[in-house]
Amino acid sequence: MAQSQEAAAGGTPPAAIRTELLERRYGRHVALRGLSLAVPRGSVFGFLGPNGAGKTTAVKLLLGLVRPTGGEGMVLGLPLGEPAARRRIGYLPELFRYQEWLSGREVLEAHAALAGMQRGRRRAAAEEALATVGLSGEGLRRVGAYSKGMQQRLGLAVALLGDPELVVLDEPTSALDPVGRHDVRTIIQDLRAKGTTVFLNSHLLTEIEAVCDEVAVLDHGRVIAQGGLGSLLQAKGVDVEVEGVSQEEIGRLGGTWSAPRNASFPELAEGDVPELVARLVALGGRIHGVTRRRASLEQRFLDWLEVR
Amino acid sequence: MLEICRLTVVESLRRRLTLALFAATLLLVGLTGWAFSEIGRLSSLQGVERLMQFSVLLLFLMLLFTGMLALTAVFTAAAAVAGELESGVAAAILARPLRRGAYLFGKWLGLAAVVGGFALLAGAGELLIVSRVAAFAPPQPVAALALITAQALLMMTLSLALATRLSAVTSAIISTVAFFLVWMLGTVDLMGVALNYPTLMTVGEIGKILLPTNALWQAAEYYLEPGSLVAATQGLGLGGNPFLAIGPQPPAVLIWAGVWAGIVLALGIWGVVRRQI
Ligand SMILES: Nc1ncnc2c1ncn2[C@@H]1O[C@H](COP(=O)(O)OP(=O)(O)OP(=O)(O)O)[C@@H](O)[C@H]1O
Ligand SMILES: [Mg+2]
Repeated sequence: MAQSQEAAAGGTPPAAIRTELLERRYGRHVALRGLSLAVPRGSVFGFLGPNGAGKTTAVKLLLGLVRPTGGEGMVLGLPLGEPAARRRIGYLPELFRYQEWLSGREVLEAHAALAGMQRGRRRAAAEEALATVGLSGEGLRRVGAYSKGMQQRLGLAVALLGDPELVVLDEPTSALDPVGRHDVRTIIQDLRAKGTTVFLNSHLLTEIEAVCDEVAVLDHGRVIAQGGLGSLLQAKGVDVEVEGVSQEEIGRLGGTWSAPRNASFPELAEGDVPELVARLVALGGRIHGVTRRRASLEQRFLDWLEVR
Repeated sequence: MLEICRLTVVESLRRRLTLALFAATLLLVGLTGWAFSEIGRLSSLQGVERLMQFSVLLLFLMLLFTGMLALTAVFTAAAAVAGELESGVAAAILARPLRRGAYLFGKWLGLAAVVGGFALLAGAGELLIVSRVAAFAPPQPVAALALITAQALLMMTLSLALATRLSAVTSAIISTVAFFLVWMLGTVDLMGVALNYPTLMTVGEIGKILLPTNALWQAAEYYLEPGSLVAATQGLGLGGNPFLAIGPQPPAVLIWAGVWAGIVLALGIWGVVRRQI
């Protein structure tokens, strides 16, 4: 609604998050160096990186929990650290803890109050958030009696409370069982459908691969790769299962035999596949299958870390 | 801010802190009543000497009571603030559109309600039971209670401010040590006045400025003593006795205590604003 108006008003829609050379040092140790990001509104943005890369630091800077030692940024159109921006952000911290002497529903009602929600709407919003994360029947129990996974679900409910415009999740499935992980995936897909921007910190690559439109890969406080998931995962090369073509002929086309009947063409670009197939057929080859190579995120991740 | 205040009070209710304080109040009042009725029954003293005896006993009990109050205030505040900041509960709260100053002030209000409520209730209970059992009523009980409560609030404020940057245990210990040190300095000051040693007086004055709790206690003491007793002991060279105040504290003491609390709370707010959560 508001977003599409802004988009219609002309030009590029304002980014949900934009940072310029954001930096955080702890003494001489640089936790995050020169982070420049633009997260489009309505996208699901994956923030990847190995342990200690600076993902959590970046998120805390975005939420104003930690001050930058350099650079600047805007979140939802307001400068970092501005309390007003946080009115429209939901946040699940990496180390999530909630008042254990309150019930789950009371935690949510307290957060609703702190977010400035009107008194009359808090109860319903809390119940709705509990239902979304699968804690409907547990709202009246004390948080201290929740299991760790239940506490993380509660944290997710806190982050989703009151339909924020931006949801920031720092490793939202670290304590969840497989069902919970699947639930989180569904929740994120629903958020995307509603037009909510999601900033997802994770080192679970399958999770990122399943839900993100765009990713940035961080290592030692530096972005080492960034872009749409499709383009980042694209790889050159095809494997062809073929009979009746000699090794020399395959070699002339730029391929090698990798197994009996299996020829691989590692340098072939995506657009040249039909041409290759036509030439193999013309040479009398009988083709049983053509497989385009697509790198798994995991493989790319390891490649990126290697070339850093 | 009011939501944080409400949560702080709810926390003390749920953690049974208020229950414990209420039980402590009953115990304290019961023991005081018993002590006064026994002394009244056994003692053969009359007149000013009897007054003196009751007065010293009351001051002694109230002094213990303020010590207890100070410890309660210190530990409650330290746990409420450092506990939340360290556990990560505060990270979720401070990611809301809430200024950190408002967060800390909300905590202060909630703790003031709990600690101040306990101080007033238990203190009033003490004075009431003494007047019932021993027919001994201090001249200005309300002023004395207000001063004792203020002393507890100062300790609470100090511990709260320290706990924005230090662990709960460390803040509580530093505050407790400060409380007793200043108490000792207060006694040194009294001796200085009595014996006319300027150095001792200066040391005492510095103590009063750094942490005006003992000064507030001495002010409260004066309001707890019967006027006739003060008059009777004047000129007897009884100064230097921590159980006897020979004059009221100047109003500057009160003003400074208020200013001091404001400064320390402001430092606490600065501490939590600068903190990386
Ligand atoms: N409060 C702090 N004091 C000192 N160093 C810190 C602090 N917080 C983070 N760091 C350092 O900053 C770097 C980045 O930490 P950060 O928590 O952002 O990593 P991360 O990418 O979230 O890692 P993980 O995947 O393990 O959660 C680390 O080297 C860490 O040691
Ligand atoms: Mg992290």
